[in-house]
Amino acid sequence: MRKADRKDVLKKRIIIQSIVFLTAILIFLAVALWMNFSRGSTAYVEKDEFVFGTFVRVVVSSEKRDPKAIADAMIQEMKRLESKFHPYHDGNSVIFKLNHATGPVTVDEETAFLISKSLYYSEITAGAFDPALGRLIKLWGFDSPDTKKRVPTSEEIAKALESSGYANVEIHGKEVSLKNHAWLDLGGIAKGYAVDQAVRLAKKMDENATGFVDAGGDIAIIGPKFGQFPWKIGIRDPRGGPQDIIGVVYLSEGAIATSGDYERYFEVDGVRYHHIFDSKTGYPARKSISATVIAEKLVDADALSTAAFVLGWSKIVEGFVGLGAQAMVIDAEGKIYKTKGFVAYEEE
Amino acid sequence: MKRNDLQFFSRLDLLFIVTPIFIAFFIAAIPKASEKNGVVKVYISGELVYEQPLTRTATWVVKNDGEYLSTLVVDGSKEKVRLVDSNCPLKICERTGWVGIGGSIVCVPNKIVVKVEGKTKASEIDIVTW
Repeated sequence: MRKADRKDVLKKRIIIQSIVFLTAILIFLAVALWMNFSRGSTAYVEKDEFVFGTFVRVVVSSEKRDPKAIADAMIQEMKRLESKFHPYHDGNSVIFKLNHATGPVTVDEETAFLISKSLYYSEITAGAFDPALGRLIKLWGFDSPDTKKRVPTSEEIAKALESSGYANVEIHGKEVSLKNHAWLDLGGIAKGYAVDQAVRLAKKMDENATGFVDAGGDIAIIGPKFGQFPWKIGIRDPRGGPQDIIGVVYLSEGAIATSGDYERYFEVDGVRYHHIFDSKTGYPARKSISATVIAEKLVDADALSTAAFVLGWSKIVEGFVGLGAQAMVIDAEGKIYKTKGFVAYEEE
Repeated sequence: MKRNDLQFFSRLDLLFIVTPIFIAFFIAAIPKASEKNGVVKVYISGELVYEQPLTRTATWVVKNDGEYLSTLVVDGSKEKVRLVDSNCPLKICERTGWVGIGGSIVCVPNKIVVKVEGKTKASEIDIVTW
């Protein structure tokens, strides 16, 4: 080989080697970054708070804004709505004032919207979801975590039922009337609404924010995990421990809520009395032990999971699909029922 | 001219390529100190009031402003924790039972949160609906 040719080959070799080395370094950096990123060591900020009588976890990430500022704003929004809609607290609670008014009350647009939404779900679920069970809930002692719980007499329950039920609520525009001394308790829907509003606020602060809000097991997704992966959500085994899972779903958006007889309950003579009431009997609903609903908004998933729990597996629950929701119900014998679309969420 | 002079990749070149990739995986695979072993953290009203390794068996009385609230039990051999003898009405925190890494115990009336932090597998779930 001529000296010039050899020099040419060596030159080419140095160029190719340089490219290969640079590529190797790039791979090195990419792998290191990817591993660190996928571990999520710094991407998400978590803020915890007790709101709506439950433990709320906000997990959020943002490249545009300080995630802590977003989480703080979200918690503040939920607290605002908690104090606005708490039925048994005095002060600024719109619902408390409504429950203790002697005639029609003109409420703000937000309250009118939530009451109307509650009544809509009451009607389409034949009263399985009922926002006017305040008297009954207070009678059983489920109005506050600190109230003493007890099994009322059948006479007391019958009397409370006379002042209960969504048929006692009338709304015309922003004017609300409660008949027969009924009390509103929007607990089955207000938490979901508040979380939705908090998520809306997060997206307003950064439309690309990701994360989730976990409000006592009712979950709304802010955005996919690290912006690209679905969140892996376990459905608690209603007869297992807190870390025992009976199923898994994957959500990149939307919301999921579960109602179960293991959330808040007390036992008398071996009988479990929980906090979700059948408006027809005045006693805790017994057809299911757990009901999970996936919907676009948590306000819908929240209300529908309560209704599905009270109804048990039924035509009405199967009809949730028409509302854009999917349901899974576990009956009193532990048998699991799912709407057809639910299984689509079980695949990653 | 030697044969090696005309080879684009010698054994040494290959070493230069493989080594950075190997190092990258090695660094990324090293768990952070906090992830290595489980840690039990107790919060009251959002404030961290107690912390200990999950592997050390212990009991700790949870108090707030001198008022007894509950007792934390850590079983170091099983790497699990629970709350017992709570003064709350429904005893939901007690009924939660034993929890391990990734789990938590919440007592709403007393605003107690017990978190068990530590390295979990990537395949494990992110959130639980209940």
